[in-house]
Amino acid sequence: MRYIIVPLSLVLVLGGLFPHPVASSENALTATKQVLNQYCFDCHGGSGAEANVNFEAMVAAPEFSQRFKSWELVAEMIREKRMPPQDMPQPSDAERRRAIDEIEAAMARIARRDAGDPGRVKMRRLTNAEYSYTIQDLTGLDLQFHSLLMGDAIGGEGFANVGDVQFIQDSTLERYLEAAKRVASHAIVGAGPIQFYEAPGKTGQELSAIRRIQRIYREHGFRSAAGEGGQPFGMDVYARAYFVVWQYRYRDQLGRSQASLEQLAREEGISIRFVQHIHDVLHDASSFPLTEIASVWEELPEPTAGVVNADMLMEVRNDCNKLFQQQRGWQRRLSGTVSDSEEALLLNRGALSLNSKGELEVSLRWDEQNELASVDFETVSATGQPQRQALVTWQNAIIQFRQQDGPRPVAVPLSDHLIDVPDYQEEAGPWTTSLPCDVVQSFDFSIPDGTVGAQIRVQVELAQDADPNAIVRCVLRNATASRDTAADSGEASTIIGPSEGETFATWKSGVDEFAKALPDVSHREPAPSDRDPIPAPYDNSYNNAERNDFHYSIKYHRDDRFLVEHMLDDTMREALDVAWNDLLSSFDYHDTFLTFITDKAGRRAGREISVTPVRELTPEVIDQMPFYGPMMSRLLQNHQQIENSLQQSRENHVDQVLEVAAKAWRRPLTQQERTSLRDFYEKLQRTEEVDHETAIRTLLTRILVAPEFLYRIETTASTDDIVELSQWDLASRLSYFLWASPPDRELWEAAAQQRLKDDEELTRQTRRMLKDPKAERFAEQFFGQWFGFYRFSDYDGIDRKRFPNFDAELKDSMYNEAKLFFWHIVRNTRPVDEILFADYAFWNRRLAIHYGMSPDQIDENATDYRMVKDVSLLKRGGLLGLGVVHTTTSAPLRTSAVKRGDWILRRVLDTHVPPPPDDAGSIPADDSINDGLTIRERLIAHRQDAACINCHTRMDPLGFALENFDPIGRWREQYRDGQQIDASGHLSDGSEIDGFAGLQSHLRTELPRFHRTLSAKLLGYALGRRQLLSDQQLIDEMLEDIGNGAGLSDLAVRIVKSTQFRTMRSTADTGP
Amino acid sequence: MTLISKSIQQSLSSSVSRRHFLRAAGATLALPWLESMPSRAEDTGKRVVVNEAEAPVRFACVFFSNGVEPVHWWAKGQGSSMQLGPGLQAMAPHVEEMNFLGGLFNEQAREHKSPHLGRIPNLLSGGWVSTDPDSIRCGRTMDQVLAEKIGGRTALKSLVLGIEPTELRLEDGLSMLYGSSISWSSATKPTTKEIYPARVFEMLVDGAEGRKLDRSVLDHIAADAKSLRTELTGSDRQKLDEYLESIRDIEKRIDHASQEGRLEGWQPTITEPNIPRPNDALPQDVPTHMRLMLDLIVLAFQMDKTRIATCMLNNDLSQMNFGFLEGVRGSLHLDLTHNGRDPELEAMYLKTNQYHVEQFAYLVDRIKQIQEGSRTLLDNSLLLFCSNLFDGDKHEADQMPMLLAGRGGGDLPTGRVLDYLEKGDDNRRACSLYLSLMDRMGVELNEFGDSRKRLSDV
Repeated sequence: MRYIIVPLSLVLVLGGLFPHPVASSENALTATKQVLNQYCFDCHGGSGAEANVNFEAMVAAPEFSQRFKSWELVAEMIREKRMPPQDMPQPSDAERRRAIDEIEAAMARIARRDAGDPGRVKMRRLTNAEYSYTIQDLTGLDLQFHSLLMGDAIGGEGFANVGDVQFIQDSTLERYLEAAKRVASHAIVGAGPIQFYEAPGKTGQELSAIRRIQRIYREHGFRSAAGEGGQPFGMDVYARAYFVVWQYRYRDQLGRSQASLEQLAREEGISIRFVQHIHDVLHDASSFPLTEIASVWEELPEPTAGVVNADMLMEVRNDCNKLFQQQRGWQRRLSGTVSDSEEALLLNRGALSLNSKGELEVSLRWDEQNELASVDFETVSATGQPQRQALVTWQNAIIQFRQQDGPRPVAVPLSDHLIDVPDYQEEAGPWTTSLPCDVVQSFDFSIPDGTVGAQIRVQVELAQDADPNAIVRCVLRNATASRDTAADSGEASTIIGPSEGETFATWKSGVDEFAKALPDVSHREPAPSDRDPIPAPYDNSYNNAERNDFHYSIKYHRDDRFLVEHMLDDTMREALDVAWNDLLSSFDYHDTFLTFITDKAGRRAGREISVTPVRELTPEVIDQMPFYGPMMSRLLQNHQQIENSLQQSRENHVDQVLEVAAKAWRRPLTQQERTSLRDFYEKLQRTEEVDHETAIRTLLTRILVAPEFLYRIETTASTDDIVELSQWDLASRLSYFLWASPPDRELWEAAAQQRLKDDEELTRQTRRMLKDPKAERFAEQFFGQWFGFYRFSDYDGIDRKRFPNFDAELKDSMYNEAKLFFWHIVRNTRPVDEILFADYAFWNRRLAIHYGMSPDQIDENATDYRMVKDVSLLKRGGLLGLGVVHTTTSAPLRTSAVKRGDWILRRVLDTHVPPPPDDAGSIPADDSINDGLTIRERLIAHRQDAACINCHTRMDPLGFALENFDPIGRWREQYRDGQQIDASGHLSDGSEIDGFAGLQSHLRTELPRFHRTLSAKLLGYALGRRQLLSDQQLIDEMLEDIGNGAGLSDLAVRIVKSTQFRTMRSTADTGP
Repeated sequence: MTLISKSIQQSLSSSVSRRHFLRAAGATLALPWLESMPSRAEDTGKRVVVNEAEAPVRFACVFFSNGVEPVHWWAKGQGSSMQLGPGLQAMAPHVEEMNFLGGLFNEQAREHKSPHLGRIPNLLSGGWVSTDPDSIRCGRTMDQVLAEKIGGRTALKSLVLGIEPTELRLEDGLSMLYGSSISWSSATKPTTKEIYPARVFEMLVDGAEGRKLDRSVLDHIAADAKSLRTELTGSDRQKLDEYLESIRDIEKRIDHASQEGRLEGWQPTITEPNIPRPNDALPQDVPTHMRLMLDLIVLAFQMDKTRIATCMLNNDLSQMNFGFLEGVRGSLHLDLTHNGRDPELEAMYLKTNQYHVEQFAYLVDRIKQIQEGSRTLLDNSLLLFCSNLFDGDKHEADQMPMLLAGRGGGDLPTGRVLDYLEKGDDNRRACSLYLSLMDRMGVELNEFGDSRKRLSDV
């Protein structure tokens, strides 16, 4: 007998213990197979499968996870009876039902089984926007890489941050190399820590340094006059210091016995050192005019103990201000003794001299009412002491009237117009008067008709027979009573006196003290201008070759002793020193100066002296130098000090670059990495023989072109299938999702402390980040890519000759309109439906007019973007009212209802729309028709064709509803040829859509689809991959959230807390 | 071509190379309805050649401040028999290659109250100078518009050069920053001006030393990437391998340096500099400095490191000392320009005008000597020479002294005297000239500054 050997597996199969390997009974799809076989395989099977949809293959290997979108489509087609086509045999409703149920059940099972799988996420490179933002966060600079980097491709759910579509080759890397070198060139490698500046190289170092210096001067210093035509700044510090020292003096009465001077200064918000200085000046004043200032201060009222009120304090402040005005008065007058009244006394201290003669000029104005004008002559002591013996002769007073119109009359003696002048006889000579000290004489004079004002000039002179050592101030003042008080006091004064002698010497030393103690400038401008002398031995005279040469080649000079000594704190002093070191080492300052000094010495000595570069300068050489040895010595010292400072800061530069590396690579560096980078720097210097600066820049380049920078690398040591992301990788995901940029300090700390494992922390961070200004980047990137406007500045699909209005300003405005709208929705956690139905928009003036607001409704002065409400009145608001949408969905010369309808279906409702058949024909490019048919009529003709109906009954009505918006988004009632616009249409189910409002209503019925699209897109953007079947559960949760009124922030939280977001597959290639 | 693929193309800038598309094809084509595959070929070279066999057009603007002696600035006739006023004598050998432009103006300059600083930032921009002391604002200049649009085709977007440093003081309440720049990158930022010849040279010649360092960088990355590679698996490792292969390709190219760059189409006439590296310090005297800067512009054009350049021979209100000219004493602005019609000073002022024109003639001559195929570099250039004021003493801005040398690619007629002064304000805007010049550079705008149309006859 022959035995049949039956394999054990077959026995077991037949016994039912092992499932059939081809398809489990669960996934048998028997009903589906039957329907498809009977009604669909004819077209969609075998070798000539229509539209590349092959059901035979699909049924044989369903692969629900991979192909779930296709299966969803199959179910939809069957459910909505779109397939089979109307003229073919139709399955019964029951048959349809069974197939649909089968498919949906199979998919639901798999969705449940695989729920939460992170899926296949290929390693991603930074997109162009992410690259730019990352560099911006690292350096503070927006370096405009737009044209340098290659464009991004779109993949996944329609975003650029999908690894599958990013490729790299040598030309791409060359560009990244160039970009990295460009960033590195903007690093300042100088006397301070590494920082970045908007101009590169040594020029950048120079400009950065001068900016820093000017900023410190501006923020901490003061000047009564800043250059020609400049405004004074910072002078209020004096009055406030007087007030603080007063507070300190009476601290007991004010109930602040424990307060220190330092504390009070801090409360007032002014420099502590300055307050201390003022305190010393007021208490140690021993010479005039400081004594005068101090004594006025002494007389500030003492507060009554326990009675402290705002009014009283305000009064004291006013008094302090008056004291300051008095101080200013002295400064001005004394400046006048040096050169001209705008020049600061401090800068010319020591150059003080007096004259026994002076001239005064004052300008007067009067009303029509006045018949008389008055002028005062006053002599007052300038030493703080009464001077009985002083006598001043006032002479040669002339007056020159000004007329309403007509030429200026000539100057005539004032005496011709004086009224009631005693003791004057013309025959005795020109009129003079003598005034002893502390006397005022008033003179009235008549005003000729038709004059509106006058200049009066008078000379003053110390009377020789009286005290020749008198030092007095002569004041000429407008004393006319007039309704119209002029802004200036109409007063001129000058100080006259001897230029030698003991009285003068004492007075001069007092004035010098005053200038030193209470200067009206705390520093010279680093780039000297008209108001600042330039240093010796350059010739200071204005408009002179040497002075010009200084401006041209030396450029800068430092003299800020007062500021440094009496105003800056230690941190600021250091920052200022660093900035000056950077400035003077950015070009060959010392050598140029040395050359000049050597030349000048040579000329003065009458022989040629060769120039020694500063690096070779020795004390011996300096000793040999005639005239300018000490100056050279100082230069050498300064140079050495700068060299030392540079040397010291260099030691820290590599460490600072490594800190930049950690931020750039979005994680701490390993010890190995740090060592390797440090070795690289050292090797460069050794073998390539480059200097420190070049080596640092090359190190930076190395860091910014490394894969750790360019790619978002997510690694794991685990061999498990699905593994938790490291804290750093998670932080990166979070920040690139919500900001398109690297993590900030707070997020970094959370990662370092392992807090991102906690749900609450993740929620907190997400919400914080979406409220941060950087969330604008998210709005731009996510919505910009989803709705296709993120490169709108490049868009040139509109014919500019037909639409000259479509210029750069309009494009820019439309882009900002979209960006601000979506940012508003994100930032304020608006309900997601507002994306479609918002009744507000963000317009600037240009857009408001463009969209039809009448100019008188628009604020004249509005230059920025404003939120405009009730825009539905203008048929605007929401996504479909945006100019960017109307523009990008039009053809160059006309609108396209098909394109718009298609856009809505695909982008907003994520509905599959297959391409038209090859023989679909086309519509003319322009909408001026010659054959009498409108575009609509042509499209209707197509819709009567069976091959076209399927899609066009769904698309066209949506597009027609927007037909009132022309290709650049303006509202119109007619086409260019005058034909009326008909914005109505009928959908395949018979419902009608009419116009913008009708479209909005229709979309309300499609909200579930929109919500689903939004959820899938958000997920796709966050994860950098396509939506998968295993995401169904998460998407359902998001839909539920939306049903409960969620905004984007809530949806983002949902995503961030999901397994998909927090885990990865250990091998990126595998997935459900 | 369907509507759908057209909309995809509009929202993409492709970067997928065919090579990688094919390599990865196996994994991706299994998915149906993959709408995201772009179909354009990738740009493989750093530089985009405009027209395969033709040299590109270059633009330069040489500026001098404080206007001219009006009586001596004129031209008559045309072609080789063109006669020039005494101020322009140095251009006599070049009359056939230039156009004399008279009567062009910027309305914003003419209307501005500030006679100096309100009339220079608008030279190349047609913008209005802000009088707000707390802000710096005028308008983006045409050379920087060009730099943004086409500057990316060369190693340097543009050169912005000068002789005198950017001055930081105030003049009549406005910052001298306005008077130190004629190129503005945006309405609020003047472009950084370079006055050190050595630094300019460095920018042009990133050459051998730069590439050596590039190689060091890439070597180091490749070495470190080995350990990174072990941490990645599957397609991630593949991506890194792509990156590493790119490094290897670049290194090969660096090693064969002579083959670097374009292999076909137009080549610049030199790839290495033909002048020595200038000293680090500023040149000792003005003539040397000016000459060196102009030489660097010529070098930049010859090496095609940039196609756009501006050069300020002096800042506005300049007190530049022209004592190196025989018979001249004093500083440009206060002594010579505001000469109060004193004949001796006027003669000196004329000498400074002539000196400036000599600099331009030097540039034109050097550029004329360079052959590019069948044409000269001058034939392929548009060289603008101008000041922002006409009668410097009166701060007159109703017209500007301008010369335009070169044939802008070969078809700009030259040897003409074009006077627009009597043609009406709308027909003589300098911004119209700039629109025409930008057209020839390949950038077509609808409007610029205060003009919406091109200048006739240019």
